Amino acid sequence: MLKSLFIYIIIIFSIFMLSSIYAKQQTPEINVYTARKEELIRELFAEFTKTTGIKINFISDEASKLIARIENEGSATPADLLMTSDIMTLNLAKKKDILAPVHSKMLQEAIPGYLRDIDSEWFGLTIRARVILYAKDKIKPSEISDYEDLALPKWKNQILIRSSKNVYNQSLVAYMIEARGIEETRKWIRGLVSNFTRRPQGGDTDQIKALISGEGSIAIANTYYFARLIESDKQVAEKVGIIFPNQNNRGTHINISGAAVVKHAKNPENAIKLLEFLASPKAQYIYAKQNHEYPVLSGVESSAILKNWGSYKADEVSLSTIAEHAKTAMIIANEADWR
Amino acid sequence: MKQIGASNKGTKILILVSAGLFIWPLFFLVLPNLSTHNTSDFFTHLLFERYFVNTVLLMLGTGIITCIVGVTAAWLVTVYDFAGKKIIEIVLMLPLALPTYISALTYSKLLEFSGPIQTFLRNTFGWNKGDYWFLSIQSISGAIFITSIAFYPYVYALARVSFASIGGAITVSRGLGLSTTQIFFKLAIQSAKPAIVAGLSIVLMETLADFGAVDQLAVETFTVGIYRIWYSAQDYIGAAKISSIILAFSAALIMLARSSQGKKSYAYNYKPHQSIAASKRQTLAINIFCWSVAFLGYILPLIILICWSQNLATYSNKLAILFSNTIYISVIGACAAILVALVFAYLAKKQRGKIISLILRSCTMGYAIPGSVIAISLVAGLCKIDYIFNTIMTKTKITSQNLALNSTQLALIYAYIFRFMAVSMGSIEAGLSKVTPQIDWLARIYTRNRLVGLFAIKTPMMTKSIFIGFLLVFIEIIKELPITLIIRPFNFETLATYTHILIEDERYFEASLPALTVSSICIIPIATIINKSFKSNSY
Repeated sequence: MLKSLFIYIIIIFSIFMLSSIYAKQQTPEINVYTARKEELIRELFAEFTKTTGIKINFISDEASKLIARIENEGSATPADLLMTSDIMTLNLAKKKDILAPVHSKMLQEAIPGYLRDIDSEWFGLTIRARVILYAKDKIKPSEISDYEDLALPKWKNQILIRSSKNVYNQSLVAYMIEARGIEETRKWIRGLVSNFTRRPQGGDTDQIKALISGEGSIAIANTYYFARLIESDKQVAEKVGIIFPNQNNRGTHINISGAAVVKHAKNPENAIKLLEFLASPKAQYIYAKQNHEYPVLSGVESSAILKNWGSYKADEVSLSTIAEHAKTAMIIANEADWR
Repeated sequence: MKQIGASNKGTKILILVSAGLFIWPLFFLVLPNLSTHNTSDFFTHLLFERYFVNTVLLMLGTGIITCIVGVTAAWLVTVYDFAGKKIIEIVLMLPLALPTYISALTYSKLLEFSGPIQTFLRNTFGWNKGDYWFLSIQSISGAIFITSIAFYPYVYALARVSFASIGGAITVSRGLGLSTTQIFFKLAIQSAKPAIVAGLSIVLMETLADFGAVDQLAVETFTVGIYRIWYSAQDYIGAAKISSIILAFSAALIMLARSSQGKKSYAYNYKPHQSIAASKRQTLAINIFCWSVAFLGYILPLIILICWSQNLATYSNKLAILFSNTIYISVIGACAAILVALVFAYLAKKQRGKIISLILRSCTMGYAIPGSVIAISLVAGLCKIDYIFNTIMTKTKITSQNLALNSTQLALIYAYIFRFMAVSMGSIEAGLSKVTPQIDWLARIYTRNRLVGLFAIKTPMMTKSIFIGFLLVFIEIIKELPITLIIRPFNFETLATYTHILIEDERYFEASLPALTVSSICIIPIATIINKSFKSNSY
């Protein structure tokens, strides 16, 4: 009995070992660590495999975890391409020295300079703006024009925003630091926090829903969350209005989703192919249509909902510069007790 | 128990090596503490107090409530005979089938300002924001509520088995004229203490390691702190500091559980208790109590999930793959965990050396460490092993194939074994405690080898404990999220990871289907456990 038990165990474990070793490549493939959700990238990847014949393996998780993982895996990492949905994590990956520069003429031409890394280590693929949303029955759009206005005492108990733990808020704070300096931003955050209507909780969609139900009259969210909500319920657009802040000065804070080739990639050529594909008109169109993001490639049409909002002026300070304030942003947000 | 024959050096080394296999992640956690390199003490200083206070409050509150609810329910179900008892026994255990991150999510969506209840109140009474007070689940008391209704079954189950085992004594005491209340305080509580404490320590370890629920409810505990410091601030040293504190908590809990087991000197007699027929009023009261506990812990969240799934226009065809992946990895993981636990528990019992026994037991600390932290230190370790192995292989030219343990199913299973060692060891040890010294001697006489004795003679004696242990780990793995998320191989999704991904993407309706599947798969093993373990006269 004992013998057979041990044999059984050994068989099971050797099957595992073999399967892990045999999981090696037979067909051309590429391994992607993605912080973008499967729902969003499935169609893109399928399209890529269809045209190139390259198989895409991927795992999805939060960007900061994937970066920690690549860092810990060192030269043994199976990752070829890292995809994240914000500038902070892309810059973090660069600082951790886990990315490889990519010199591609196609990418240089397709993506505007301020949306990619100075050293060509990461590339923005889609744009989203962090906008101010307001309850149409309570506020006139003329009452707010800049992010700065959110700290005014008249909005006490009105503002809905998620935790400062979230990268989109970190990059918003970093953008404020870049524009106004640390001391001014500190003051701004203090004002903002004192206007919160509740302890920050949930995601961007939750803030918009709370806005609709009347828990506050101003919410801060990324454009695609709002667009997605309108798509699922047309009435949302009747109740909630959108303001692109700072149109008369530096422009609205934007963020990007982007991708980067990993330093120790085993299939770097394929990774670059995928990167270039993601910046191509076809992929850019899928991004825009599926997730209501603004394409980085000029000439690609936005989704109908986005077009309806009209064009806006985006802040064109290089995102690399903004990302440099990541840590300071986090510290001052915590100091002001922005959960 | 008497030690037969001194353990030789070989065995000791074997034990240390095998224990080492499962302890090194702990070292990886604590090691950065020794670094003098101080990057950002900011978070540890600024937020430490908040994390500490919240964690202690959460554990205290959860501990007290789970004890009261669990013990009361166990006592009522043991002592009284009433209509609907059979079904209540099962229903009381159901909260185990529901991952805390899901129940926290459903409750916050139900009770939030824009949720159905508050919207209904506002529409009915014409209230506006600020006109009325409403309880907030996004608070420390909300978190205590969620963890309590999720974890009380651990106390309930162990207390229930323990109460059942003194059935004969209860009958005798009643014959002697003691009231039920007197029996409860003088006899039952005293004799069930080790079981209750054991259940409590599981509850507290789960609470300590929980991330999903507290994160959802915006309560900042050590787990959230580690997460923030480790991932957001990328400060491994700060994270290691907090990890060490969690380890200290966890060690204290293991000690607590051990010390209570040491006092197990009373005699067991497994005569079944003759239940008292409950009066009509008692039946009603018991039914209301038990059903409302189960309603809050399982039924209500499930109803919410079902309502969400009604909003779905299309059903994902992915569900079948997710389902088979989940079952597959959980079955293999649970088998492996039980095998390892069997050997470890046996060795721990046989060792006279306190230190070795201590080392083996410290393997169970993984249960109290947040899964995401375990996962990252495992990834780092496995990559080192891969690296060393591959270097040797290329140098010696044995094979050119590369070994990649990292992000394989094997790595995932290895992580599960470590994470749930407390669960598997716990059940095996409970089973081993029934192996008397006499049986031990017999085993030694008939078989030369100790391991042969373990597998050929003792294992069959404890099939029930092994089976229950297997099912418990099985349930845990089905619900497990953070480790699976980080270590899973490419293109491998389980129900839990997929639910999480959809929730993260704020697609709650889509998430309801895999979430429902997770919480319904677990019903079967839970019902089996109840069936197997609550019969008072068998073991």
